Amino acid sequence: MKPVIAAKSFEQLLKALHQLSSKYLVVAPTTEDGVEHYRPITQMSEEQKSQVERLSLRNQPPLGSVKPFLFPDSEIYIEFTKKDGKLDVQTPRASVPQIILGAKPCDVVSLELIDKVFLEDPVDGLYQEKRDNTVLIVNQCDEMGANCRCDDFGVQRSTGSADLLMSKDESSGKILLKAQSEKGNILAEELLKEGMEENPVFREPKVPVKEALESEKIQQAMDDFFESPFWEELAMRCIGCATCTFYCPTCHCYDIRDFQRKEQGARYRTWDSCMFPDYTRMAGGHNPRPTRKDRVQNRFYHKLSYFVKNEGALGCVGCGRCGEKCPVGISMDTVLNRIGGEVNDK
Amino acid sequence: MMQDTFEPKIIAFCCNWCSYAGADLAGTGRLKYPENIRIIRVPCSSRVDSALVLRAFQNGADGVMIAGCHPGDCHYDTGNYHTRKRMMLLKSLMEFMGLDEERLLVKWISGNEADRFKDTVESFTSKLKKMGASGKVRDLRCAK
Amino acid sequence: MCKITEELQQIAAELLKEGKVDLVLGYTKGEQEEQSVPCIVTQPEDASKLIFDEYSEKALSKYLLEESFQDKKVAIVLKGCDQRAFKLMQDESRLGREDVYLIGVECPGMKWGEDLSPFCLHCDYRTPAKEDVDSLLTGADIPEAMQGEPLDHEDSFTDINRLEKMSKEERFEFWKRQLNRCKRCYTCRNACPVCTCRVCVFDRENPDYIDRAKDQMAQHQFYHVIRAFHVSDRCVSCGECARVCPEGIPLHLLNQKLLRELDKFYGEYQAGIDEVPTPLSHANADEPDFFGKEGKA
Repeated sequence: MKPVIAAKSFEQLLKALHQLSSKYLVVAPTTEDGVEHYRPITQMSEEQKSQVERLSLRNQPPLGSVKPFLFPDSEIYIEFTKKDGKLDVQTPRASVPQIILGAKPCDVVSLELIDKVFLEDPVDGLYQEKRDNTVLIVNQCDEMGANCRCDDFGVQRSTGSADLLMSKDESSGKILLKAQSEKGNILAEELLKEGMEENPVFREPKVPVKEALESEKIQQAMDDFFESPFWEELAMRCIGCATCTFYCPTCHCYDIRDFQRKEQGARYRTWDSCMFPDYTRMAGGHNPRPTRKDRVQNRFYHKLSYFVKNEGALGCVGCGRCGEKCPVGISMDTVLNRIGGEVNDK
Repeated sequence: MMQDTFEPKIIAFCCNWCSYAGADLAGTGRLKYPENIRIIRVPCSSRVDSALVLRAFQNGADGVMIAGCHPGDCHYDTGNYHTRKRMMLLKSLMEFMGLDEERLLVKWISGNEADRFKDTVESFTSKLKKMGASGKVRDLRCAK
Repeated sequence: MCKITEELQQIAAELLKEGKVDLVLGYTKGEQEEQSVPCIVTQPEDASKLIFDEYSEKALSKYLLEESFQDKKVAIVLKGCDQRAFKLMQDESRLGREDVYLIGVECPGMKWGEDLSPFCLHCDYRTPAKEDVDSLLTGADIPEAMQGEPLDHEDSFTDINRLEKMSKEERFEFWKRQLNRCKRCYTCRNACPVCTCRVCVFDRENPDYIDRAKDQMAQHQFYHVIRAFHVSDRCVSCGECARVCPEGIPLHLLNQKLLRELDKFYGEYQAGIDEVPTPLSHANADEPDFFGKEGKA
């Protein structure tokens, strides 16, 4: 059974979620100094509540994706202390259950893409733990945002691993939730206890679904395009910062480092970016990707070619964050338009 | 209650030619100064860049002291002129960011000013004892 | 098409046709509306791609240090602030003037969202000096707010004044809130036209200057103090650091604070306009001693 439940208003939903805050960490998109991110929400002013409502139901993802709540930018995973000549190794506390409210279909698909990397053998325990502990409440967009290209990547209606789908009934102002997983069912039960009601129907989004790009075709076009002078041009324009990779919801590279102080220390992992020159630098000083061209090319080839070959899907969800924040305006479009053009010219 | 038991950690960068000699003289003259201070000898006070100061704070220092030759006495002629320029900027930037700039002390101490060295360490230590532990530029991992 | 764009395309085409330069580095229309992006033109017939408008924010001069621009004759489009950055690099012997053909352009002031960039409103060096460039293109469509005298120098520090009036704890909270969002993507560093070290201290593995952890405020504070410090006296006030920051951190405030302190104690200095050495690359006995016997302890 897939129960549909309804809250009278968004405010009631927030209230119900707030009641669950002893059990769950509640995360929702908020604005701070004009910057939109998913953040844990606690006590909120009326103004903040309306921001959360606006961003949760908006047809465009916020600047930050949900990624940091499953794959944090820094994460300690071993702590060690030297005591009486012996090394005492501990693993820090387990993650807490969390609800992510107002995630977008592109976020869901991006997590599914990261799953392909982190949940396949060998399984990444840190990620798995958080993934299992996360309940995603997904708002299906009704139309596309200004920078969105999710239609090309077949992401618009994808809600495969969403736990609850969310939709607003414009006429009654009700917020409808439809559970579609075990975790979703449990949360729906809990929300019912907090004053939400059962509802007979769920409103399906109106979004028209366009035919997505064929991953194999893109991969083939990319491979044919490898020697093009276009990459030289693109690399000349790129300034080599990590904005694109850090805001990308599917980028998942990390670096492992140790922090040490006297008799104790910690081993942590932290986001790394293939745009940094030291990303591929080896201990002996050799760098297999010495130039910016190699690095720029790698980023696009990883998403549009290697990922297809290894995991059978394009490594991009078309959320448009990279292009929006790139200081020199390089986006997925820049490349896709070019390879498209090049393929047609043949 | 905190003030009574709190012993601040002070990192002192002492220039090889004047201040380190001053500290040395204090030692041979059997002057007693608080053991809160950890001296690091540097070739010149201008060797200390802002990164070293912040690094000390991050790793648990409650105060940082930079001691160099009196202006005009620098072994390298202009080293301490650079020091005072940079450290003034660092202090004002720290203040601007709301950090405790008074935890950074710059002092000119010559090779024969053992007393001045002792007095400086004493007054800086007691000042830091009153201020309590530094928490603002601290890396909190592994902090007991 | 505006006059500058037209003349620019003409000059670029001529330079390429006559073989005076191998490539022209300028701006072209980006993929999005209201966006101009850096571009390289190598063929005379492509010169029509070039434009110059109020969205041509990105400073181009730093590109000249990139590997791919070496051993090439380059013509580059420079607006005032960018030319200052170029002059600074030239004075610091980072590149030779004779290898580059400079096309100076009169800057109409860049956009900042809907409005004009606050940095441009305070800028008194919109157009490079004629003797510093090889061709100078003027006749930009200057918006009303940019006409006449630039806003007063003091006014350009309004934000600093606001912060300085706060208590220390308030300032700390302000910066904590701002820097908490930092992801250390190094966009501010890479976009800064005067941040030009061959190997940046933050990229160096040995000594390992910076801890990569992003959950430690202390590491963010460390990065931002050092970044501001390393460009302090060389800052050309273009505002790129604040523009490119994806998290909207007002990084320019740190630079402006340092500039103001330098101006106050060592006399006014404008990098890339006044002669080198820059204030922090020399020091002498006559300067104020803040740490003397009676001074600031």
